[in-house]
Amino acid sequence: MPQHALHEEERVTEHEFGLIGSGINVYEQDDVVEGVARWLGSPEEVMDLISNGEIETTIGISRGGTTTFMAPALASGIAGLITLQGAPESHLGILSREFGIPCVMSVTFTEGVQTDRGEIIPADGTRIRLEISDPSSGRVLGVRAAGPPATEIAPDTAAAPQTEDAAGEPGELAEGSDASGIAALLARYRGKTPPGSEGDRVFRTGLRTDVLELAEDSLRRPALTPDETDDMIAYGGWNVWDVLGSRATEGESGLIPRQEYETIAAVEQFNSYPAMFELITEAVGADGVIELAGTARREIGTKANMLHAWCCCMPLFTGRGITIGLDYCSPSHRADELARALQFPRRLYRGLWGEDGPMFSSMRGYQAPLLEGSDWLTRFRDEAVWLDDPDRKQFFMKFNASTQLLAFLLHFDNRLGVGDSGPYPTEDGGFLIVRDHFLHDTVYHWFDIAEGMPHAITQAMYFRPPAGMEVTVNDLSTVFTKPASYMPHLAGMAVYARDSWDTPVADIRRVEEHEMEALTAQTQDKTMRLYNRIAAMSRRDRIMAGVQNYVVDFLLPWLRLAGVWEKAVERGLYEIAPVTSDSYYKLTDANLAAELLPRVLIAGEGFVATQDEQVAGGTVSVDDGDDLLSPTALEPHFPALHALAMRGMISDAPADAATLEAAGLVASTPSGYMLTPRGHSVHSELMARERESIDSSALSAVYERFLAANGPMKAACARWHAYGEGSEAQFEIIAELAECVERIQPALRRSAELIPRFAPYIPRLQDALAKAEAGEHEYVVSPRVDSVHTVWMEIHEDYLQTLDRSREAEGSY
Amino acid sequence: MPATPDMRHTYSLSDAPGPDRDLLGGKGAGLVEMVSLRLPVPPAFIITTACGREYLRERRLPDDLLAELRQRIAELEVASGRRFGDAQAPMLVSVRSGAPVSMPGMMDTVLNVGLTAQAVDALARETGDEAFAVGCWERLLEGFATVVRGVSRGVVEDALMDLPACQDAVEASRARSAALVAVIEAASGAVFSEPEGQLLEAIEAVFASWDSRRAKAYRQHKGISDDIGTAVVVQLMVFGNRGESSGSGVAFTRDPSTGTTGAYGDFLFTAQGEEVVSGEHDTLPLSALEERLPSVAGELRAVFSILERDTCDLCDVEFTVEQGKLWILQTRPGQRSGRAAVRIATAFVHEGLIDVEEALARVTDEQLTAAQAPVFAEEPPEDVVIARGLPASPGAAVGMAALDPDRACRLQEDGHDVILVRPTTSPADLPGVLSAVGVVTGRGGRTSHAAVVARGLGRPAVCGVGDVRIAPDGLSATLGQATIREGDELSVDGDRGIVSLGRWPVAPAHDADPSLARFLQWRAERTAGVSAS
Repeated sequence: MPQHALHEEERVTEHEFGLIGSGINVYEQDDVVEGVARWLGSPEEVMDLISNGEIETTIGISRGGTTTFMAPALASGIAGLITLQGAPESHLGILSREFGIPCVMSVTFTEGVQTDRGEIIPADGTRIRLEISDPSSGRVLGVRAAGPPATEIAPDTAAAPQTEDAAGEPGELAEGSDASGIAALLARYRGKTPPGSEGDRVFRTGLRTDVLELAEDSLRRPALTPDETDDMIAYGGWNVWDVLGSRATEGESGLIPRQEYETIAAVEQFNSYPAMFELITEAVGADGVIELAGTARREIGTKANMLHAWCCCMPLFTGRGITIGLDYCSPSHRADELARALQFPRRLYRGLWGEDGPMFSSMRGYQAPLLEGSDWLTRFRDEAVWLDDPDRKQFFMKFNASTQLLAFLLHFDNRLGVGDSGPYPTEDGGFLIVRDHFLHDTVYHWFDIAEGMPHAITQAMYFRPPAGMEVTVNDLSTVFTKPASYMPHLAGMAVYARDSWDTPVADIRRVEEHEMEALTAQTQDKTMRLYNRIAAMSRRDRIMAGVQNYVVDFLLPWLRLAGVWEKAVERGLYEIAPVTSDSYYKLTDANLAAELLPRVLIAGEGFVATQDEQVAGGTVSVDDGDDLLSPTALEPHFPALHALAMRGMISDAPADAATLEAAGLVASTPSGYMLTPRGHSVHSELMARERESIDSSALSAVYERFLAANGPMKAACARWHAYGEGSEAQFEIIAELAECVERIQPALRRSAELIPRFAPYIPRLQDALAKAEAGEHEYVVSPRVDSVHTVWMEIHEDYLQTLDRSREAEGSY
Repeated sequence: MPATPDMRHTYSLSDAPGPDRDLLGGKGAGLVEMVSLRLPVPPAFIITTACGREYLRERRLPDDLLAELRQRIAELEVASGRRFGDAQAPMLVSVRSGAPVSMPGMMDTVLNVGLTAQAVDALARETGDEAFAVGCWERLLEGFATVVRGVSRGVVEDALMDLPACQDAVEASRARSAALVAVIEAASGAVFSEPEGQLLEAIEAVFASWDSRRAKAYRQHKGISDDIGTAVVVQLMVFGNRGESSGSGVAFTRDPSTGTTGAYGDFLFTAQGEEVVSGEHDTLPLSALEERLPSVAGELRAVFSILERDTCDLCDVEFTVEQGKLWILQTRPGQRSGRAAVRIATAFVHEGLIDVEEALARVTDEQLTAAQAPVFAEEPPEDVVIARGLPASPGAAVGMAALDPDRACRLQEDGHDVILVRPTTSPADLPGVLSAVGVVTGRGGRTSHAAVVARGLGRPAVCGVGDVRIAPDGLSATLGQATIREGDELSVDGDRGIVSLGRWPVAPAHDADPSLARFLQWRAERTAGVSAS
């Protein structure tokens, strides 16, 4: 087969496409999508792709699953998207459905070239196809070269022998590694409670108070009881996991450091929000707070929505969890303040529903038809445009997608710019979703780009779904359906604009199609400009802008409606506390964050009760989550952890990298993967366990023979750099190394009989030696490659750690 | 031409017809040269390359070789006052290969030929050092098994690992020796030879190793003829481990890393040569020899002076002191750093040993580039010096301290220049070393991983500065009396072996080094001259 078939399109025939990767399908369609692969690693590369005019024939490949990084590509009509990380619930997953752009996420490629981090991807320019007719699994096909795959990664080199029992099939990581504690933690909260309504029911049976049942009298009390506080914290842990847990594997943004700003903001919110809640409550009273949230039942185009109510609750828990996790405070710290502050979101939620009853959407079957009973539903029906014409439908979908993208980008890739309510069942068996996109405000300096846009665009979207489609709106005011793709079923829409946040309801106007057209164009232009501006910001500026957006926006609607906005600004709404400043350096340290956040937020450790753990009761016992991260549960990951411990850093992703990262054991850096401090301690524990089960005296005897060759080997290596390239002495040294390598093989073979992981050292040494002998002299001592010296050093370290000996005691450095 | 009619195949060091590499091989010619300079070389004789070629043709040693060997051995016995094969005061010899060109891959050396099981105990009694005696025995047997009898390393190592654990080092060595004898006899189907048989087998093995796979591959690579063949050197063993007035050393006639005039080297009392170079022991400077054995030290200085004048080059000298008597084992042109190459070449011009043209030819472009790496303008004041150690990799580095490899990587990613400070280095430190501009380690010498890696990466390094203790939080450390914190500015002088606090000015090498300035001037003049003509 000719290699150049890759470059000659006309010669590409059906049978030359072969499966090169698979992942999670986000966008279901019967037609196969074909395009040219292009790796998008930085905002510059995204912009470059758009300007070269080939975007509509390009299938972009990015690392993470966040939206804004890919925003311009989505808006410019890229043919398809592939991500290496991320889940369908991520923003990018949502947006790709909104835009109708095929997208397969968390793809594992089996052949291709390597990224700078060692991930395998198809080379730029490869023709690839996305097969996305299966609702769950997406397949990527590529034109395969004849001969061996382009990749140099053979399955039997390097760490590969250690992966067999560690991970499942590509793209099935979460399911394939059932044995691991992390997979269990992602499947069930603290390994126990499932997601969704079932989880809500199970979890609530374990609570001791009815604090989550909102009743007038309990809302008038100034504070919760300690038990009520702890019940709310406990449920908050599950609720956060439930709505955000799947996003934990969303992956990283090439544009906006989201995790960093969200966590820093949470520290600030835990610190400053209780006082802000007091400020509002003093101004309008307890009933007044309930009334503020009643706005959501009467108005459209308002940020006084469910998301913003939830946002006045959960940061108190997540921020507290992170603050405890960073050792800034103990669980009992500010418990009284918390007991008062939690009344605020309870009152807001009571106002949202307009009746006594369960607090969160997660307790109401994820149904939030807040406008039910208002005049709006009638008005929507009367003013809706029906989209039987496919072009017209396309136009409306594009309007929705473009404005949503700008809303996301303005809000630094978070959901504050978007708010759904519903579903509202319709007579024809379909449903209505009412969706706000917030496109302008005056409170953030970068919103100047959106000058002239309405404050909010509201879309009343009518769907005629196929039978059996499940529709939910969670506490984040976000609609999800099963199956996931609902935009194709859009049947009608009415669009409104609210020009300013305080535009009277009577002045909210309908947007005609000609204005929609203009808005779509403006939106795309502004998105591009904002994207460029953010791309030019320093990392710190991006993070701090995100912090500001979070800290200000969560409170924004409530402060304004209560008339205390100016007062709040005076009291430092835009400031951050010293503890928050300090946390910046910790939470932007990828290692530390990777260790801390999964533990605190996913394993639920951060949702510890304010009272003595005994009193807090069984459901909240801190140990459950830990069991799943215990050495026993982590044992399947030992080979990968061990390889990292031995080598310090590995540029190729370990097979179970995603799982290990989620567990906070491994961090990825631009130069490769390494263990976090927690990863190191887990590794040490696993080593200690291993020691109990091996015959260490037999291994010691074998190790003596290794040591007998160690001195000559090191003396030879030490002489290497003294001699010129190609000199006789270098040949002599390689001959000496060959002798040393030959000498320790029996010891290695015996070691491998005692501990199988020693087996791969033999071929690794032989490979290094063969390359050195063939004239590739970096394979003598260079630390940059698997040289004889590198492998030897690793073997020595492995013996030392396996036998628990120290270099100092042994005197070998 | 043989010295006497009945000596067709061999020469002693004194009756050889000059240092003829083609006939005597490189090693033999070197020894002859040393003897002609009146250096104290252990008595030896050389079996010629002609004999080697004859062996390769016939696949057997010439019939008349044995008688000649017996006579040469007798000469060595006279010189040493001991007897080959004697059970009470045995004379031991080494058998080495020596081709006219260096030939990696050939059988190199069999040591302690002539020892027997009975003689081991006598040697132990004679020296009062049983460990030494059994060590010699084990050494012979190991070399004999693998290089002479060609028993595979696998079989040997397997046999050794099957032995029961033994805490006593001497007993363990005896057990290994017994196992080795068994392996030798079982694997090759022939009994372990008596001294004369050992000698003949070793010589034959050297000749035959000319055709080993590696040697052939090397010749093919280098375009060397297969017909040259090798010589064999049989030399009296001398021992640096026979008591407190014995020892071994490796020395350079000038400092090979800085080029500073005056001998530079490592010495260990009561030790064999390989212990000095293994890097597993803390060696002493040559001044230690000056203190304990001043007359030997004086003799050694004279040797250095003779060698430099004879070779007009930096020499690398291996020597052993056996009970107060100095023996020079080997000399060769010394390998040197770029800076040293420049300084030594200019110094030799000034000493009148070589001319400018020769000086320019002696420094390779690589060495000159290395010599031009920036240096610290001067030694820092004593009050900011926090550690001194081995200048393990030359150059000047300034950056902020990081005390663990992860932090080093982070700081580097944040755009800082990082100095990695570690007690020792393990593979897990490598990412940190790669991220650092300079390296400091508490333990370890030139053969330590840190030193090897730093030199390979061209990172300045100071190794073996003493105790480095990192605080549990990984953010501070003590180096001897000094305490440093992560982020502290450090200057690492890989030329002087000094670690100091603060950022000290770095200067272009030619500003700090007049030799380099002069050398560059010569070079410029010659280039100008060449282009003018």
